[in-house]
Amino acid sequence: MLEEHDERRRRCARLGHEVTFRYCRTQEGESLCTRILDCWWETFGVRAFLAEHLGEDEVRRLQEHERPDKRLSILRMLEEARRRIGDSEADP
Amino acid sequence: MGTPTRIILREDEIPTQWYNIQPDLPNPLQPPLHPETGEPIGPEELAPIFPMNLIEQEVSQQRWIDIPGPVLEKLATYRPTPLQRAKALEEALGTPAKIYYKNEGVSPPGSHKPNTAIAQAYYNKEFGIKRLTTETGAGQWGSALAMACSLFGLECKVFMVRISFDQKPLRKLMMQAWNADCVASPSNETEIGRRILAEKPDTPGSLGIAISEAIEDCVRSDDTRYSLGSVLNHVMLHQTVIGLEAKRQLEMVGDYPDVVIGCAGGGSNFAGLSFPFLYDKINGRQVEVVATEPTACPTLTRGPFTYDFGDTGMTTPLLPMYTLGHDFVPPPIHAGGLRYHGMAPLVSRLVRDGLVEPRALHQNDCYESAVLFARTEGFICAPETSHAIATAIHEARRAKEEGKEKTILLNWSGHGLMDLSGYEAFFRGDLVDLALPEEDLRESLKGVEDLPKPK
Repeated sequence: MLEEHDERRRRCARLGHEVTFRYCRTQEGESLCTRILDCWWETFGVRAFLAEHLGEDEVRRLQEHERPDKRLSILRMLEEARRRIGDSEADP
Repeated sequence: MGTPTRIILREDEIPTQWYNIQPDLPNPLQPPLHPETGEPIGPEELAPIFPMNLIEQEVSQQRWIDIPGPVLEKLATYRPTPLQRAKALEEALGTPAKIYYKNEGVSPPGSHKPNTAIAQAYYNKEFGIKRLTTETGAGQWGSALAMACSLFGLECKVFMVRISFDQKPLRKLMMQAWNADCVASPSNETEIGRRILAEKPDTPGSLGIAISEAIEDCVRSDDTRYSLGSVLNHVMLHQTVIGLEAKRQLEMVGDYPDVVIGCAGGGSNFAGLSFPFLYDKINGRQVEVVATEPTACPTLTRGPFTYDFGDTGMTTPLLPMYTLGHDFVPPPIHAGGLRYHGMAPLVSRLVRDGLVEPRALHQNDCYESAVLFARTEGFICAPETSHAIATAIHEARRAKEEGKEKTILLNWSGHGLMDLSGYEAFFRGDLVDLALPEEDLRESLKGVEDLPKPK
């Protein structure tokens, strides 16, 4: 069952307070937190669990995920924000 | 009379210059390359979100940078911070080691973060900026920036991740008290927020969404800029007042550390204490510098599934040692630093150059240490700070075993009075260390099975 571990809780290093496992696997509504394996490995077999429910490819993608340089992330977000603002101004 | 418990500098002894480690790096920091052009990212590309005076600091090769008078004036509301000797902790440990801690928890928001928030608010104001935006999770950074903006008469907008907004109402009130406008993210105030809310009205939000909102808000207005409390070089620079003060305070009692310890999340509190001592180390002085972090979510050491094995027993994650025995030491598999990117580039560089030793610790060890510290020294630390305390305790115990005198210095980066739920979980016995099932272990070790095993 995908919800099996949803009520487990641990401190999120990024947010600075406790979150449930459910938050980590659904945080943005569409994707897993990219740190989900790193954060939960001490608590239960999160890798096997995710592989069972999401498939091996998804887990490998998470394992291979490289955190981008913060400056690059900010620039990417800057470009996306400009695009959004441009879209909204062009679409009254 | 022995060493005083609190070593106090006068207000006019606050350092008047920050220390910039960039010109002293054995290997210079490489700018990130633009993903589309492949060219180094230039200062002008950051100009829409940061004022040029801060961008200049970001790339500066000047070793000492003057702290402007108005910044010194505002820092003086809580600086110099005390350097304290943990005598009761030393006694409880029965160690010959001397443990000093730099108490950054005395600032109004309770952490080291205002050291850069104040500087950033000042430079933005000097550049003609009227308003700053930022994101926050639990609210440590948001409240530090809110206070700094209030001191300089700037408006402050904080996008607080909704789940944090709901869980940490007191931080939100602190920001409000400092006149900041703190909204739950995603919000209806940005395009990205509205789009996400339209699709998922009940979303708890994420730090990524909050950053996107803060940046979008910033680029909508010419007199608004974005502010970040970690990772960037100028943030590390502003924090060096911590180590510069600590050096002077230790000189007052005729001491110098054998080991300097800081916890490393985004790197700023670690950098703040350690960089002035690394200046000495680069110039030939003997001092060990240790950056500590949790075994879960490590940034500097290694992720559990992509370990760089191969350093000493204290610093290697316990998983393979525990499971396969102490003879098994898998080799490094990506010493180039796959997992290094979440950390401040300056700190990562220093780790790669061997000037800083990263260590990872389990959470129960850290909370046990935090509680021992609270029961002996009185102060209740933030969960992050507990990593530095635990490492200092390890060092002190080692000194006892070896019968050696040793001077240990740690950065007590913040109090934990707004963040006691982790202590509650620890007292309930809910914190779990190392329970990785065999199948996960086998899977995690597949990546190293083809590599040569050490003799």
